[in-house]
Amino acid sequence: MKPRKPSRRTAAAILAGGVAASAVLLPGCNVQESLYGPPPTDPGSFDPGTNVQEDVYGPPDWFDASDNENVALYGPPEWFTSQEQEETADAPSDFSPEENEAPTLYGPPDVTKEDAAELSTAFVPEENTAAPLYGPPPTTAARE
Amino acid sequence: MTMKTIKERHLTQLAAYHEKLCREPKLRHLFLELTLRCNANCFHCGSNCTYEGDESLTAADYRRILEEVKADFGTEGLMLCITGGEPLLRRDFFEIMGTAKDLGFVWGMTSNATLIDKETAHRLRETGMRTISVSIDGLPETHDELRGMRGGYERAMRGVQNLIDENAFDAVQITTVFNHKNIRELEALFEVMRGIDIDSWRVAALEPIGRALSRPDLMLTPGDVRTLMDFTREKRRAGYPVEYGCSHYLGLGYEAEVRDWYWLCNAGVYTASIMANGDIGACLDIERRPETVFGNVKTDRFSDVWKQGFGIFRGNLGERNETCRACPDLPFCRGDAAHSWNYDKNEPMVCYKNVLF
Repeated sequence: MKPRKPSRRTAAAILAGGVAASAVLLPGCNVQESLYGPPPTDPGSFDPGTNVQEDVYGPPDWFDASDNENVALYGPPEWFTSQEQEETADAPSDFSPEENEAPTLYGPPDVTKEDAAELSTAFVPEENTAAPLYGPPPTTAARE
Repeated sequence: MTMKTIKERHLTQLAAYHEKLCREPKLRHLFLELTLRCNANCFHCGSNCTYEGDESLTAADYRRILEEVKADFGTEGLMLCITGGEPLLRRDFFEIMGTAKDLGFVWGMTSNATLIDKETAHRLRETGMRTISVSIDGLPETHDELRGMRGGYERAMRGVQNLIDENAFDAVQITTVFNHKNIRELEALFEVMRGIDIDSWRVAALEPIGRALSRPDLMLTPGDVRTLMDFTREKRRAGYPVEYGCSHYLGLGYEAEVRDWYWLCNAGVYTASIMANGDIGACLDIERRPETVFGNVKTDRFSDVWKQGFGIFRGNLGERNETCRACPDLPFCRGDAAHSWNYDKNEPMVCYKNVLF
Protein backbone atom coordinates (compact mmCIF):
# COMPACT_ATOMS: atom_id res chain seq x y z
CA MET A 1 0.00 0.00 0.00
CA LYS A 2 1.66 3.17 -1.16
CA PRO A 3 0.67 6.79 -0.67
CA ARG A 4 -1.02 8.24 -3.69
CA LYS A 5 -0.58 11.62 -5.17
CA PRO A 6 -3.72 13.37 -3.99
CA SER A 7 -6.36 13.44 -6.68
CA ARG A 8 -8.55 16.47 -7.12
CA ARG A 9 -11.18 14.84 -4.98
CA THR A 10 -8.69 13.89 -2.31
CA ALA A 11 -7.34 17.40 -2.36
CA ALA A 12 -10.85 18.63 -1.80
CA ALA A 13 -11.30 16.21 1.07
CA ILE A 14 -8.01 17.31 2.57
CA LEU A 15 -9.11 20.87 2.26
CA ALA A 16 -12.39 20.13 3.93
CA GLY A 17 -10.52 18.63 6.86
CA GLY A 18 -8.91 21.80 7.94
CA VAL A 19 -11.42 24.24 9.26
CA ALA A 20 -14.07 21.61 9.74
CA ALA A 21 -11.78 19.74 12.09
CA SER A 22 -12.24 22.56 14.53
CA ALA A 23 -15.88 21.65 14.86
CA VAL A 24 -15.01 18.60 16.95
CA LEU A 25 -13.08 20.78 19.35
CA LEU A 26 -15.98 23.00 20.25
CA PRO A 27 -16.83 22.57 23.91
CA GLY A 28 -20.49 22.02 23.15
CA CYS A 29 -19.61 18.98 21.09
CA ASN A 30 -17.59 17.47 23.85
CA VAL A 31 -20.02 15.70 26.14
CA GLN A 32 -19.30 12.08 26.85
CA GLU A 33 -22.19 9.79 26.11
CA SER A 34 -22.87 6.14 25.69
CA LEU A 35 -21.81 5.06 22.25
CA TYR A 36 -24.01 2.08 21.70
CA GLY A 37 -27.50 3.27 22.20
CA PRO A 38 -30.02 5.71 20.91
CA PRO A 39 -29.04 9.34 20.67
CA PRO A 40 -29.06 11.11 24.00
CA THR A 41 -32.20 13.05 24.79
CA ASP A 42 -30.23 15.56 26.80
CA PRO A 43 -26.49 15.35 26.25
CA GLY A 44 -25.80 17.46 29.31
CA SER A 45 -27.52 15.05 31.64
CA PHE A 46 -25.24 12.08 31.15
CA ASP A 47 -24.31 10.55 34.48
CA PRO A 48 -21.37 8.13 34.49
CA GLY A 49 -22.70 6.74 37.74
CA THR A 50 -25.64 5.17 35.97
CA ASN A 51 -23.49 3.51 33.34
CA VAL A 52 -23.50 -0.14 34.25
CA GLN A 53 -20.72 -1.01 31.83
CA GLU A 54 -18.59 2.06 31.96
CA ASP A 55 -15.44 0.22 30.97
CA VAL A 56 -17.06 -0.58 27.68
CA TYR A 57 -19.65 2.07 27.02
CA GLY A 58 -18.54 5.09 28.92
CA PRO A 59 -15.64 7.17 30.05
CA PRO A 60 -13.09 5.97 32.59
CA ASP A 61 -14.34 6.00 36.15
CA TRP A 62 -12.22 8.97 37.10
CA PHE A 63 -13.89 11.17 34.53
CA ASP A 64 -16.50 13.57 35.85
CA ALA A 65 -18.68 14.77 33.01
CA SER A 66 -19.86 17.73 35.05
CA ASP A 67 -16.36 19.01 35.70
CA ASN A 68 -14.34 18.80 32.55
CA GLU A 69 -10.89 19.74 33.73
CA ASN A 70 -9.03 17.27 31.61
CA VAL A 71 -9.03 19.42 28.53
CA ALA A 72 -6.25 17.44 26.92
CA LEU A 73 -8.60 14.52 26.59
CA TYR A 74 -12.05 15.96 26.67
CA GLY A 75 -11.79 19.52 25.54
CA PRO A 76 -9.95 21.88 23.30
CA PRO A 77 -6.33 22.71 24.06
CA GLU A 78 -5.80 25.45 26.63
CA TRP A 79 -4.44 27.88 24.09
CA PHE A 80 -7.52 27.51 21.95
CA THR A 81 -9.43 30.54 23.06
CA SER A 82 -13.06 31.24 22.51
CA GLN A 83 -12.11 34.08 20.21
CA GLU A 84 -10.19 31.68 17.98
CA GLN A 85 -13.14 29.33 17.97
CA GLU A 86 -15.39 32.08 16.72
CA GLU A 87 -12.93 33.12 14.07
CA THR A 88 -12.54 29.56 12.88
CA ALA A 89 -16.20 28.71 12.94
CA ASP A 90 -17.22 31.90 11.26
CA ALA A 91 -14.48 32.45 8.78
CA PRO A 92 -15.25 35.21 6.32
CA SER A 93 -16.38 34.29 2.87
CA ASP A 94 -13.08 35.44 1.44
CA PHE A 95 -11.16 33.07 3.71
CA SER A 96 -7.80 32.29 2.22
CA PRO A 97 -6.03 29.04 3.08
CA GLU A 98 -2.71 30.73 2.51
CA GLU A 99 -3.41 33.12 5.35
CA ASN A 100 -4.17 30.38 7.82
CA GLU A 101 -1.53 30.57 10.52
CA ALA A 102 -2.16 27.10 11.92
CA PRO A 103 -2.76 25.06 8.80
CA THR A 104 -2.07 21.69 10.30
CA LEU A 105 -4.84 22.15 12.83
CA TYR A 106 -7.34 24.49 11.32
CA GLY A 107 -6.63 24.57 7.69
CA PRO A 108 -5.36 22.43 4.92
CA PRO A 109 -1.74 22.43 3.93
CA ASP A 110 -0.70 22.88 0.33
CA VAL A 111 -4.02 23.84 -1.11
CA THR A 112 -5.01 26.74 -3.20
CA LYS A 113 -8.00 28.96 -3.57
CA GLU A 114 -8.81 27.00 -6.69
CA ASP A 115 -9.04 23.83 -4.62
CA ALA A 116 -11.41 25.58 -2.25
CA ALA A 117 -13.54 26.71 -5.15
CA GLU A 118 -13.58 23.18 -6.51
CA LEU A 119 -14.77 21.71 -3.25
CA SER A 120 -17.71 24.03 -3.18
CA THR A 121 -18.85 23.02 -6.64
CA ALA A 122 -17.59 19.48 -7.19
CA PHE A 123 -20.10 17.56 -5.14
CA VAL A 124 -22.29 15.26 -7.20
CA PRO A 125 -24.67 13.22 -5.06
CA GLU A 126 -25.08 10.62 -7.78
CA GLU A 127 -21.42 9.74 -7.43
CA ASN A 128 -21.69 8.89 -3.80
CA THR A 129 -21.23 5.18 -4.23
CA ALA A 130 -19.50 4.14 -1.05
CA ALA A 131 -19.19 0.40 -1.12
CA PRO A 132 -21.09 -1.52 1.51
CA LEU A 133 -19.24 -2.22 4.71
CA TYR A 134 -18.41 -5.84 4.14
CA GLY A 135 -18.58 -5.90 0.38
CA PRO A 136 -15.77 -5.88 -2.10
CA PRO A 137 -14.41 -2.58 -3.30
CA PRO A 138 -16.37 -1.10 -6.19
CA THR A 139 -14.92 -0.97 -9.64
CA THR A 140 -14.92 1.96 -11.96
CA ALA A 141 -16.91 -0.09 -14.41
CA ALA A 142 -19.69 -0.63 -11.93
CA ARG A 143 -20.15 3.08 -11.56
CA GLU A 144 -20.25 3.83 -15.26
CA MET B 1 -17.17 30.36 3.22
CA THR B 2 -16.28 27.87 5.97
CA MET B 3 -15.79 24.18 5.42
CA LYS B 4 -18.65 23.66 7.84
CA THR B 5 -20.92 25.64 5.57
CA ILE B 6 -19.74 23.80 2.49
CA LYS B 7 -20.24 20.41 4.06
CA GLU B 8 -23.66 21.31 5.37
CA ARG B 9 -24.64 22.39 1.88
CA HIS B 10 -23.35 19.13 0.43
CA LEU B 11 -25.18 17.10 3.03
CA THR B 12 -28.35 19.02 2.35
CA GLN B 13 -27.95 18.21 -1.33
CA LEU B 14 -27.39 14.59 -0.44
CA ALA B 15 -30.47 14.51 1.76
CA ALA B 16 -32.55 15.75 -1.17
CA TYR B 17 -30.92 13.20 -3.41
CA HIS B 18 -31.71 10.43 -0.93
CA GLU B 19 -35.37 11.41 -1.03
CA LYS B 20 -35.23 11.11 -4.79
CA LEU B 21 -33.51 7.73 -4.50
CA CYS B 22 -36.28 6.52 -2.21
CA ARG B 23 -38.76 7.30 -4.98
CA GLU B 24 -36.50 6.08 -7.79
CA PRO B 25 -34.08 3.50 -6.37
CA LYS B 26 -31.13 2.42 -8.51
CA LEU B 27 -29.76 -1.08 -8.16
CA ARG B 28 -25.96 -0.75 -8.09
CA HIS B 29 -24.83 -3.53 -5.79
CA LEU B 30 -26.47 -6.94 -5.76
CA PHE B 31 -25.05 -9.14 -3.03
CA LEU B 32 -25.12 -12.87 -3.55
CA GLU B 33 -24.59 -14.76 -0.31
CA LEU B 34 -23.49 -17.99 -1.94
CA THR B 35 -23.23 -19.93 1.27
CA LEU B 36 -23.38 -19.62 5.03
CA ARG B 37 -20.68 -22.24 5.41
CA CYS B 38 -17.32 -20.94 6.54
CA ASN B 39 -13.97 -22.45 7.42
CA ALA B 40 -13.34 -19.69 9.96
CA ASN B 41 -15.26 -19.12 13.16
CA CYS B 42 -15.15 -15.37 13.68
CA PHE B 43 -16.52 -14.19 16.99
CA HIS B 44 -17.95 -11.11 15.28
CA CYS B 45 -19.57 -12.78 12.27
CA GLY B 46 -22.59 -10.72 11.30
CA SER B 47 -24.15 -13.67 9.51
CA ASN B 48 -23.71 -16.27 12.25
CA CYS B 49 -21.88 -18.52 9.80
CA THR B 50 -20.98 -22.06 10.77
CA TYR B 51 -19.11 -25.00 9.32
CA GLU B 52 -22.41 -26.42 8.06
CA GLY B 53 -24.38 -23.34 7.05
CA ASP B 54 -27.09 -23.05 4.44
CA GLU B 55 -26.43 -22.97 0.70
CA SER B 56 -29.71 -24.19 -0.66
CA LEU B 57 -29.63 -22.38 -4.03
CA THR B 58 -28.10 -24.44 -6.82
CA ALA B 59 -25.92 -23.32 -9.71
CA ALA B 60 -28.99 -23.65 -11.91
CA ASP B 61 -30.92 -21.37 -9.56
CA TYR B 62 -28.20 -18.74 -9.85
CA ARG B 63 -28.21 -19.00 -13.64
CA ARG B 64 -31.94 -18.34 -13.71
CA ILE B 65 -31.67 -15.48 -11.22
CA LEU B 66 -28.81 -13.81 -13.09
CA GLU B 67 -30.57 -14.17 -16.43
CA GLU B 68 -33.64 -12.49 -14.95
CA VAL B 69 -31.57 -9.70 -13.39
CA LYS B 70 -29.82 -9.09 -16.69
CA ALA B 71 -33.12 -9.00 -18.54
CA ASP B 72 -34.73 -6.62 -16.03
CA PHE B 73 -31.83 -4.34 -15.11
CA GLY B 74 -29.08 -4.91 -17.65
CA THR B 75 -25.50 -5.28 -16.49
CA GLU B 76 -24.20 -1.73 -16.93
CA GLY B 77 -23.55 0.07 -13.67
CA LEU B 78 -24.45 -2.99 -11.63
CA MET B 79 -21.91 -4.91 -9.60
CA LEU B 80 -22.37 -8.38 -8.16
CA CYS B 81 -20.89 -8.61 -4.68
CA ILE B 82 -20.11 -12.21 -3.87
CA THR B 83 -19.98 -13.12 -0.23
CA GLY B 84 -20.81 -15.78 2.30
CA GLY B 85 -19.73 -17.54 4.54
CA GLU B 86 -16.62 -18.28 2.57
CA PRO B 87 -17.73 -18.31 -1.09
CA LEU B 88 -14.84 -20.51 -2.19
CA LEU B 89 -16.18 -23.38 -0.11
CA ARG B 90 -18.84 -23.95 -2.76
CA ARG B 91 -17.77 -26.74 -5.07
CA ASP B 92 -19.70 -25.09 -7.91
CA PHE B 93 -18.26 -21.62 -7.22
CA PHE B 94 -16.46 -21.30 -10.54
CA GLU B 95 -19.47 -22.63 -12.43
CA ILE B 96 -21.70 -19.93 -10.90
CA MET B 97 -19.22 -17.13 -11.44
CA GLY B 98 -18.45 -18.35 -14.95
CA THR B 99 -22.14 -17.89 -15.67
CA ALA B 100 -21.99 -14.36 -14.28
CA LYS B 101 -19.02 -13.57 -16.48
CA ASP B 102 -20.65 -15.03 -19.57
CA LEU B 103 -23.74 -12.91 -18.94
CA GLY B 104 -21.56 -9.79 -18.75
CA PHE B 105 -21.70 -9.01 -15.05
CA VAL B 106 -18.91 -7.21 -13.22
CA TRP B 107 -18.23 -8.91 -9.92
CA GLY B 108 -16.15 -8.65 -6.80
CA MET B 109 -15.86 -10.82 -3.73
CA THR B 110 -15.17 -10.81 -0.02
CA SER B 111 -13.16 -13.74 1.23
CA ASN B 112 -10.93 -14.83 4.07
CA ALA B 113 -8.43 -15.77 1.32
CA THR B 114 -7.28 -18.87 3.18
CA LEU B 115 -8.23 -21.02 0.19
CA ILE B 116 -6.63 -18.83 -2.48
CA ASP B 117 -3.56 -20.62 -3.72
CA LYS B 118 -1.87 -19.60 -6.97
CA GLU B 119 -4.13 -21.77 -9.08
CA THR B 120 -7.28 -20.39 -7.43
CA ALA B 121 -6.07 -16.82 -7.90
CA HIS B 122 -5.56 -17.56 -11.57
CA ARG B 123 -9.01 -19.13 -11.90
CA LEU B 124 -10.55 -16.07 -10.22
CA ARG B 125 -8.92 -13.96 -12.89
CA GLU B 126 -10.13 -16.20 -15.68
CA THR B 127 -13.65 -16.16 -14.27
CA GLY B 128 -13.77 -12.39 -14.42
CA MET B 129 -13.33 -11.30 -10.82
CA ARG B 130 -12.47 -7.61 -10.73
CA THR B 131 -12.08 -6.75 -7.05
CA ILE B 132 -11.63 -8.58 -3.78
CA SER B 133 -11.60 -7.62 -0.14
CA VAL B 134 -9.80 -9.89 2.30
CA SER B 135 -10.33 -9.86 6.05
CA ILE B 136 -7.30 -9.37 8.28
CA ASP B 137 -8.33 -8.56 11.82
CA GLY B 138 -5.06 -8.11 13.64
CA LEU B 139 -1.47 -9.17 13.93
CA PRO B 140 -1.02 -12.95 13.58
CA GLU B 141 -1.90 -14.03 17.10
CA THR B 142 -4.84 -11.64 17.39
CA HIS B 143 -6.18 -12.44 13.93
CA ASP B 144 -6.13 -16.18 14.58
CA GLU B 145 -7.84 -15.75 17.92
CA LEU B 146 -10.57 -13.43 16.65
CA ARG B 147 -11.29 -15.57 13.62
CA GLY B 148 -11.05 -18.88 15.39
CA MET B 149 -8.56 -20.33 12.97
CA ARG B 150 -5.05 -21.34 13.90
CA GLY B 151 -2.63 -20.30 11.17
CA GLY B 152 -5.37 -18.22 9.58
CA TYR B 153 -3.26 -15.06 9.33
CA GLU B 154 -0.45 -16.76 7.51
CA ARG B 155 -2.81 -18.51 5.12
CA ALA B 156 -4.79 -15.33 4.46
CA MET B 157 -1.70 -13.25 3.78
CA ARG B 158 -0.38 -15.93 1.45
CA GLY B 159 -3.71 -15.72 -0.38
CA VAL B 160 -3.40 -11.94 -0.60
CA GLN B 161 0.08 -12.28 -2.08
CA ASN B 162 -1.18 -14.81 -4.61
CA LEU B 163 -3.85 -12.32 -5.67
CA ILE B 164 -1.29 -9.52 -5.94
CA ASP B 165 1.06 -11.73 -7.94
CA GLU B 166 -1.70 -12.39 -10.45
CA ASN B 167 -1.50 -8.66 -11.26
CA ALA B 168 -4.89 -8.65 -12.92
CA PHE B 169 -7.49 -7.24 -10.55
CA ASP B 170 -8.85 -3.70 -10.30
CA ALA B 171 -8.46 -3.76 -6.54
CA VAL B 172 -7.04 -6.07 -3.91
CA GLN B 173 -8.19 -4.64 -0.63
CA ILE B 174 -7.77 -5.68 2.98
CA THR B 175 -10.54 -5.01 5.47
CA THR B 176 -9.95 -4.90 9.20
CA VAL B 177 -12.76 -4.81 11.73
CA PHE B 178 -11.48 -3.07 14.82
CA ASN B 179 -12.63 -3.84 18.34
CA HIS B 180 -11.60 -2.76 21.82
CA LYS B 181 -8.75 -5.28 21.76
CA ASN B 182 -7.18 -5.08 18.33
CA ILE B 183 -7.44 -1.26 18.20
CA ARG B 184 -4.11 -1.33 20.05
CA GLU B 185 -2.58 -2.82 16.93
CA LEU B 186 -3.73 -0.02 14.65
CA GLU B 187 -0.32 1.49 13.97
CA ALA B 188 1.42 -1.89 13.79
CA LEU B 189 -1.15 -3.10 11.28
CA PHE B 190 -0.68 0.04 9.25
CA GLU B 191 3.00 -0.81 8.92
CA VAL B 192 2.04 -4.30 7.77
CA MET B 193 -0.32 -2.86 5.15
CA ARG B 194 2.30 -0.39 4.05
CA GLY B 195 4.65 -3.26 3.40
CA ILE B 196 2.45 -5.14 0.95
CA ASP B 197 1.21 -4.08 -2.44
CA ILE B 198 -2.51 -3.87 -1.77
CA ASP B 199 -4.64 -1.16 -3.35
CA SER B 200 -6.42 0.00 -0.22
CA TRP B 201 -7.04 -0.76 3.44
CA ARG B 202 -10.57 -0.49 4.67
CA VAL B 203 -11.01 -0.10 8.40
CA ALA B 204 -14.32 -0.68 10.13
CA ALA B 205 -15.63 -0.72 13.66
CA LEU B 206 -17.07 -3.82 15.26
CA GLU B 207 -20.82 -3.57 14.90
CA PRO B 208 -23.40 -4.77 17.43
CA ILE B 209 -24.80 -7.41 15.09
CA GLY B 210 -24.64 -11.18 14.72
CA ARG B 211 -22.27 -13.02 17.04
CA ALA B 212 -20.64 -9.77 18.15
CA LEU B 213 -23.71 -9.16 20.29
CA SER B 214 -22.36 -11.79 22.63
CA ARG B 215 -19.11 -9.85 23.19
CA PRO B 216 -20.01 -6.39 24.50
CA ASP B 217 -16.57 -6.28 26.10
CA LEU B 218 -15.07 -5.94 22.65
CA MET B 219 -17.19 -3.04 21.43
CA LEU B 220 -15.19 0.11 20.76
CA THR B 221 -15.31 2.77 23.43
CA PRO B 222 -15.95 6.37 22.40
CA GLY B 223 -12.23 6.99 22.77
CA ASP B 224 -11.48 4.00 20.52
CA VAL B 225 -13.81 5.40 17.88
CA ARG B 226 -12.10 8.77 17.94
CA THR B 227 -8.72 7.07 17.74
CA LEU B 228 -9.82 5.14 14.66
CA MET B 229 -11.27 8.20 12.96
CA ASP B 230 -8.32 10.45 13.71
CA PHE B 231 -5.93 7.78 12.54
CA THR B 232 -7.81 7.30 9.28
CA ARG B 233 -8.04 11.01 8.59
CA GLU B 234 -4.35 11.47 9.29
CA LYS B 235 -3.29 8.66 6.98
CA ARG B 236 -5.56 9.85 4.19
CA ARG B 237 -4.13 13.33 4.46
CA ALA B 238 -0.70 11.73 4.05
CA GLY B 239 -2.00 10.17 0.85
CA TYR B 240 -2.47 6.57 1.99
CA PRO B 241 -5.50 4.73 0.61
CA VAL B 242 -7.02 4.02 4.00
CA GLU B 243 -10.78 4.37 4.26
CA TYR B 244 -13.43 3.89 6.86
CA GLY B 245 -16.28 1.54 5.94
CA CYS B 246 -19.68 2.78 4.85
CA SER B 247 -21.29 2.62 8.28
CA HIS B 248 -22.70 5.56 10.17
CA TYR B 249 -22.97 9.29 9.90
CA LEU B 250 -19.79 10.77 11.38
CA GLY B 251 -20.49 14.46 11.64
CA LEU B 252 -18.90 17.38 9.86
CA GLY B 253 -15.44 16.79 11.29
CA TYR B 254 -15.05 13.39 9.66
CA GLU B 255 -17.52 13.21 6.79
CA ALA B 256 -15.72 13.38 3.44
CA GLU B 257 -12.48 12.94 5.38
CA VAL B 258 -12.19 9.30 6.41
CA ARG B 259 -13.79 8.12 3.18
CA ASP B 260 -14.04 9.65 -0.24
CA TRP B 261 -17.58 10.94 0.03
CA TYR B 262 -20.34 11.68 2.45
CA TRP B 263 -22.25 8.95 4.16
CA LEU B 264 -25.32 7.45 2.58
CA CYS B 265 -26.79 4.14 3.70
CA ASN B 266 -27.11 2.17 0.49
CA ALA B 267 -29.60 -0.37 1.84
CA GLY B 268 -32.63 -0.70 -0.36
CA VAL B 269 -31.85 2.28 -2.56
CA TYR B 270 -28.57 1.16 -4.16
CA THR B 271 -28.10 -2.25 -2.59
CA ALA B 272 -30.05 -5.49 -2.45
CA SER B 273 -29.09 -8.99 -1.42
CA ILE B 274 -30.05 -12.54 -2.16
CA MET B 275 -29.39 -14.61 0.90
CA ALA B 276 -28.13 -18.19 0.96
CA ASN B 277 -31.67 -19.50 1.41
CA GLY B 278 -33.01 -17.36 -1.43
CA ASP B 279 -34.51 -14.64 0.72
CA ILE B 280 -34.39 -11.14 -0.73
CA GLY B 281 -33.33 -8.25 1.47
CA ALA B 282 -31.30 -5.07 1.45
CA CYS B 283 -27.88 -5.18 3.14
CA LEU B 284 -26.79 -8.59 4.44
CA ASP B 285 -25.81 -7.09 7.78
CA ILE B 286 -29.38 -6.10 8.55
CA GLU B 287 -31.14 -8.33 11.05
CA ARG B 288 -33.21 -10.89 9.16
CA ARG B 289 -36.82 -10.71 10.23
CA PRO B 290 -40.20 -10.49 8.51
CA GLU B 291 -40.13 -6.73 7.99
CA THR B 292 -36.64 -6.80 6.44
CA VAL B 293 -37.12 -9.76 4.09
CA PHE B 294 -39.30 -8.98 1.09
CA GLY B 295 -39.51 -12.20 -0.89
CA ASN B 296 -37.59 -15.27 -2.00
CA VAL B 297 -36.08 -15.96 -5.39
CA LYS B 298 -37.50 -19.47 -5.33
CA THR B 299 -40.99 -18.03 -5.65
CA ASP B 300 -40.57 -14.38 -6.65
CA ARG B 301 -38.91 -12.60 -9.52
CA PHE B 302 -36.20 -10.38 -8.05
CA SER B 303 -37.16 -7.27 -10.02
CA ASP B 304 -40.76 -7.48 -8.81
CA VAL B 305 -39.56 -7.50 -5.23
CA TRP B 306 -37.14 -4.64 -5.90
CA LYS B 307 -39.99 -2.55 -7.24
CA GLN B 308 -42.59 -3.41 -4.64
CA GLY B 309 -40.66 -4.24 -1.48
CA PHE B 310 -37.98 -2.47 0.55
CA GLY B 311 -40.43 0.16 1.78
CA ILE B 312 -38.91 0.32 5.25
CA PHE B 313 -35.56 1.33 3.72
CA ARG B 314 -36.96 3.88 1.31
CA GLY B 315 -37.59 6.58 3.82
CA ASN B 316 -36.06 8.02 6.93
CA LEU B 317 -35.73 5.44 9.71
CA GLY B 318 -35.08 8.18 12.21
CA GLU B 319 -38.61 9.49 11.75
CA ARG B 320 -39.73 6.43 13.71
CA ASN B 321 -37.94 7.57 16.84
CA GLU B 322 -39.02 10.49 18.97
CA THR B 323 -35.51 11.46 20.02
CA CYS B 324 -34.22 11.28 16.47
CA ARG B 325 -37.09 13.41 15.24
CA ALA B 326 -36.02 16.15 17.63
CA CYS B 327 -32.36 15.94 16.62
CA PRO B 328 -31.06 18.64 14.28
CA ASP B 329 -28.77 16.11 12.57
CA LEU B 330 -31.63 13.87 11.44
CA PRO B 331 -31.67 15.18 7.85
CA PHE B 332 -28.04 14.10 7.52
CA CYS B 333 -28.07 10.77 9.39
CA ARG B 334 -31.65 9.67 8.65
CA GLY B 335 -31.56 7.39 11.69
CA ASP B 336 -28.07 6.15 10.82
CA ALA B 337 -27.26 2.76 9.28
CA ALA B 338 -30.06 0.30 8.56
CA HIS B 339 -27.97 -2.60 9.86
CA SER B 340 -27.64 -1.03 13.29
CA TRP B 341 -31.28 -0.03 13.66
CA ASN B 342 -33.12 -1.77 16.47
CA TYR B 343 -36.31 -2.91 14.76
CA ASP B 344 -37.94 -3.92 18.04
CA LYS B 345 -37.42 -0.63 19.81
CA ASN B 346 -37.30 1.54 16.70
CA GLU B 347 -34.11 3.27 17.70
CA PRO B 348 -30.51 3.29 16.46
CA MET B 349 -28.12 0.93 18.21
CA VAL B 350 -25.16 3.12 17.26
CA CYS B 351 -25.16 6.89 17.36
CA TYR B 352 -21.99 8.97 17.18
CA LYS B 353 -23.64 12.16 18.31
CA ASN B 354 -21.60 13.56 21.20
CA VAL B 355 -18.87 11.10 20.34
CA LEU B 356 -17.67 12.49 17.02
CA PHE B 357 -19.86 15.53 16.63
